[in-house]
Amino acid sequence: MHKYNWGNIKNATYLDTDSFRFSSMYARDIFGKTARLLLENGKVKQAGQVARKAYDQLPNRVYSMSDAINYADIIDSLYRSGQSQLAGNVVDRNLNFVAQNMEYLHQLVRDKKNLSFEWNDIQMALDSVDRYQTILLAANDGKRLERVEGLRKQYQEWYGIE
Amino acid sequence: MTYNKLNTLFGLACGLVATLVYIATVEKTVSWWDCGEFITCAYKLEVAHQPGAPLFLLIQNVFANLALGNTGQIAYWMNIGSAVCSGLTVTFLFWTITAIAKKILKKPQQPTFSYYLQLFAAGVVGAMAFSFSDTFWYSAVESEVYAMSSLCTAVVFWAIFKWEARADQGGSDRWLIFIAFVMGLSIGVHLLNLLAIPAIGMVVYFKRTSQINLKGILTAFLSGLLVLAAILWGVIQWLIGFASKIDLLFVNLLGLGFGSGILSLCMLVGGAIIYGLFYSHRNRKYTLNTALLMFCFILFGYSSYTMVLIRGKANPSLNNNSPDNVFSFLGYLGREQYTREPLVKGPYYDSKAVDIESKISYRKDESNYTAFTQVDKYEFDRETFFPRIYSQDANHQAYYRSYLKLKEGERPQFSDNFKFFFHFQLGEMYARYFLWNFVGRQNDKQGYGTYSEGNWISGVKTLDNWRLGGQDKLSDSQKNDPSRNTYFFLPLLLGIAGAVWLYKKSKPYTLVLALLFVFTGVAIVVYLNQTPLQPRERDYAYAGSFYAFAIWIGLGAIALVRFFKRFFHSRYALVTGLSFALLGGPIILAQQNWDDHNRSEKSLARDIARNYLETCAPNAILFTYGDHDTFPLWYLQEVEGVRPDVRIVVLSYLTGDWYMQQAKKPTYQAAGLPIGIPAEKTKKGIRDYIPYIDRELNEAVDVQQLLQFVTSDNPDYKVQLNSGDLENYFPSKKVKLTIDKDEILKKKAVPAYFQHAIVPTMEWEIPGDHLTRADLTLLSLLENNHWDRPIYFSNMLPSDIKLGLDKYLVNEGFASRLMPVAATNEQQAAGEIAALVN
Repeated sequence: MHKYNWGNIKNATYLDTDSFRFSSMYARDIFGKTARLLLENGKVKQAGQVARKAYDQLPNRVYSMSDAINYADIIDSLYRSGQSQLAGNVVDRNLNFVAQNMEYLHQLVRDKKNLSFEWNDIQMALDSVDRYQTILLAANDGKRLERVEGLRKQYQEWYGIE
Repeated sequence: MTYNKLNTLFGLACGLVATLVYIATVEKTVSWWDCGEFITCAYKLEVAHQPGAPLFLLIQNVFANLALGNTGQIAYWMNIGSAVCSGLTVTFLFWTITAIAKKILKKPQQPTFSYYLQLFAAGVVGAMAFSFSDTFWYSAVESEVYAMSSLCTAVVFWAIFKWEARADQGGSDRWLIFIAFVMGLSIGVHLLNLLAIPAIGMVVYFKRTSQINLKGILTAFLSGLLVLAAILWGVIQWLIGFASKIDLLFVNLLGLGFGSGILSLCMLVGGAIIYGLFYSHRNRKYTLNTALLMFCFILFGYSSYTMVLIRGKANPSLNNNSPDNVFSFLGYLGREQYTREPLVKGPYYDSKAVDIESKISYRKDESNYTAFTQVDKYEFDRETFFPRIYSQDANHQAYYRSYLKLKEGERPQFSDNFKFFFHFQLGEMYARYFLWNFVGRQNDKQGYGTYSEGNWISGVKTLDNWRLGGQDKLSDSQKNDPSRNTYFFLPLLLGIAGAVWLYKKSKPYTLVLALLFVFTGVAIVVYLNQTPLQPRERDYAYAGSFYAFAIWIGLGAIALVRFFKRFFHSRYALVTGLSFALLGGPIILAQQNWDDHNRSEKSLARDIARNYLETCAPNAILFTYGDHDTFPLWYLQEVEGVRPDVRIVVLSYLTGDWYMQQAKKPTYQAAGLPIGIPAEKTKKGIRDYIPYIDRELNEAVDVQQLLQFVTSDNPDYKVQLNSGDLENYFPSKKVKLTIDKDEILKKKAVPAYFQHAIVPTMEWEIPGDHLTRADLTLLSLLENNHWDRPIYFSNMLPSDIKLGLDKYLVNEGFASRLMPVAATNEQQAAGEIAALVN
C-alpha cells in the first residue's frame, strides 16, 4: 500500500467517469478490503491506519451511489480504531448523498413507470443504509444511528420492504 | 486594412484563443483509452492498433521532441499537439464561415462597417462556439487522432471554397489537387475526413454547371459517392489486395523474393501514371490530367503507411498484427482483429447459424506464401435486409429484447430493425450526442437508457422534467456536478436560425452543408451499425457533423441581426443580434463546459498504471485485458521507463498468432515468455480453435500431456470434422500441474505466510468449450516457467479468460498473483493482508 501513488484525486475539483470508477475501486478493493481483512484478523490498529490513509487520500466528493457501500469497511475501521470524528465525517457526507439521491430516485419512481438500472442504485442505497445501521449500532453513535434509522424507515415505507 | 488581411488576422486570432484555452486545460500526462497506446507508439514509432494512424504518430513524434528529453513531459507535449491541431481547425472553420457568409450576404455598393462586422462576427460566433463545444474540446486536450482528423476535414472544406472563389482563373485546380493530397494524408490519421467528399463534389458541380437541375444534383451526388468508395475501398484496400495477389504470383509461382510482385506493381502503376500524365498533357486532356494528378497526390498522402510496413519489419515491442508483409498488412488495413458488422444483409439476433462460408487466406512462411482456410462468414436460417439487431452476444440479445419489448422466444420482425435503428442507433447513439453539444448534457456518466445517466438536458426545467422526471428533487451532487451543462437550447436555435437563413438565401450552399452534416453524422451511424452496451460513449466519431452545424451557428449571428432589423434601427439590431449570438453560442458553451473539460489537474490514468506495475514483484509477467489496465501501462513503461522488468502481456490479444510469437520476445529488461510451443504449430490457420470433446477421463490430465496432445500432428490425436479435415481437440477439462515444493521454497515463489499451504498438485478445470492460442500460451507458461518468474493477472480480467485458475490467484492490490497454494479463508486473508499493507 505504501508503494502506491494516489495522485490528486483527494482534492481534484472533478473526476471524469473513467477516473471515478477507479477511485471507487480504491475505496472498495484496496482500502476497504484491506481494512476489513485486518479487522477480521483482530488487527484493529492497523485497520485504523489503513482507514485513515483512505480518509486522507480518497476524494472529498461522493461520485456515485456505490461509493456509499464501498466506504462501509473504511467507516467501520475508523470507528473501531477510535477515529470516530473522522468516521462521522464520512458517514455524514455519504448519508447526505444517499438521502438526497434517494429523494430524487423516489421522485423518479413516481414520475416514470419504466425504470431499469435506477433500481440498482435504489438497492445499493438500501444496502448502504442497512450496513451503516449495523456499523453505527456497534460504534454506539446515537445521533447518526437515529438518522440512519429514520432513513431506513422512510425507505421501507416507500418501497414496502421489511 | 483590406478584408483579406482582416479575415486572416481574425481567423488566426480565433485559433490562437482556442489553442490557449486548450493549452490551459490540457491533460498534463497520459489520458484514458487509446491515448496511452498512441503516445507510446508515436514516441517510439511503433505499430498501433488497426487500421493504424501512421501520419498522426509521425507528427506527434515531432511534438514529443519539444519535451527536450524529459520523458515525464512527452505526453504533455503530444497533448499540446492535439491542442494546436484543434486551434488550427478553429481557424479554418472561421475562414470557411466567412467565405460562405461573404458569398451569401449581399454586399452593399459601398461596403460598410456593419457589413464587415456581420461577416467577421459570424466567423467568431461559429468558430468559437465549436471551440467550446463538448465533443471537440474533449478531443482537443488529449493525444487522440480526432483533433488532427478534424483539422483535415476543416482544411479540405476550406480549400474547396478557395477553389470556388478562383475557379474561373487559371491554375485554380491546384486547389483540387491540394484537397486530394490532404485527403491522402488524412488516411494516415483517420478515415473520417473522406466523408467530406460528397459535399466537396457538390461545390464543384454548382460552380461548374451552367444550369442547376435535379438530374445534375443527383449525378454530382452519385459521383461524390463513387469517389468516396473508390478511395475508401479502391485505393486503401483493393490496391493493396491486388498487390498481394501479384506478390503471391511472383513468389509462389515464379519463385522470386518477397515483395518482388509489389515492386513490379509499383513500377507498373508509376509508369502508367507518368504515361497518362504525358499523354493527357500532350493531347490537352485537361480533366484526365487533373484527375491523374489528384490520384497521384492521394497516393503520396497515403504513403505515410510505409511507416507501418517499415516499423512492422523492425518488430518493435508494440507491433499490432506484425504487418511486415503484404498479407498481414492487408489484414491490418482491413481491421481483421475486429468483428465485421453486416450492412446490407445479415441475421437477426436470434437467427441460427446453419452454415459456414470459408475463404482461402495466405500467410508468409519461410520461402513462400502458404494458403490456409479461414472462416469468412456464417449463413443463418433467417436473414434480413438492413440488419440492425444482429449481434449474437447474449448480453446484446437481452438488451435487444428489453429495448424492443419482445418476450423471450418472440421473434423480431423487419420493423424491429427500423425501430432499433431510429430509436437506438440514431436516437441514443447520435441525436443524444448532437444535443449534448448544442442543448446540454445531464452528466458524463455513460448512458445506458436510464433517466439519470448521460442524457441530453436543456436546463428548461419543465421540459427536462417531462422527459427525464425527478428534476424537482435533484441532489446537490447532481446540481453541482461539473459535467452537468445546460445551454437552454441557445446554440441549437442559433444553428437552426443560420440554417433557415442560408436556405432562404442559397439552396446550393444549404445542400452542400447538409451533405457534410449528414455524411459525417447519420451516414456514420448507418456504417458503424453499433451494438448496444458499448464500452464508452462514441460522440467523438461525429465531430465532423458538429463542425458542419457550427457553420450554421456562425451564420445564425447574421440571421439574428437580420431578424432584429425588423424591429430596431440597424445599429441597435447589429449590437443586439451579435450580443445574443455571442451569448447564446460561444459564451454559454465556454462558461458551462470549462470546469469538466479542464483536465489540467488530472493524473489518475498515469497513477493507476504505476499502481498496477508496482503491484508486481520483480521480473513479473502481468496479464492484462486491454484499454485501462494496458494502454497507460504501456505508456508508463515505454515512455517514462517505469518498471521495465515487468512483461506486460495482453491476454485478449494472445488469440492472434502474431502476438503469441511477440510474447516470446524480451522487452527492455523483461525476458520473453518461456513458451515451448514451436511457432509453426500455432501459425495463422493452424490450431486457431481447439474444441473440447469429452472422452470421459476420470483423472485430471497433466499440463505437459495436454499440451503434447493438442499440439501433436499425429492423426491419432485428432478428430475428423464435418469438412473432412482432421483437427486437434482436448479430451478433458480437468488439468493438473505437479508442484515441487522444494523448488518453490528455493525460488521463494511463495511468500513465507503461504509456505505451509503449498499443494503437491494444482488441479483445476478449464471453463470454456474450446482452447485458443491464449490458453495454449498459459498452459505452456505453466509448464515451462518453473516458478522462476511471478505471474500476475490484472484484477480487471474477467474470470472466463483466466483458464479457470482463479482459485490459485492471491490478490496483491491491483493484480492477483498465481500461487500453488490452497489456503483456508483465514490463511488466504492473512496472506492478502500481508500483500496489501506492504
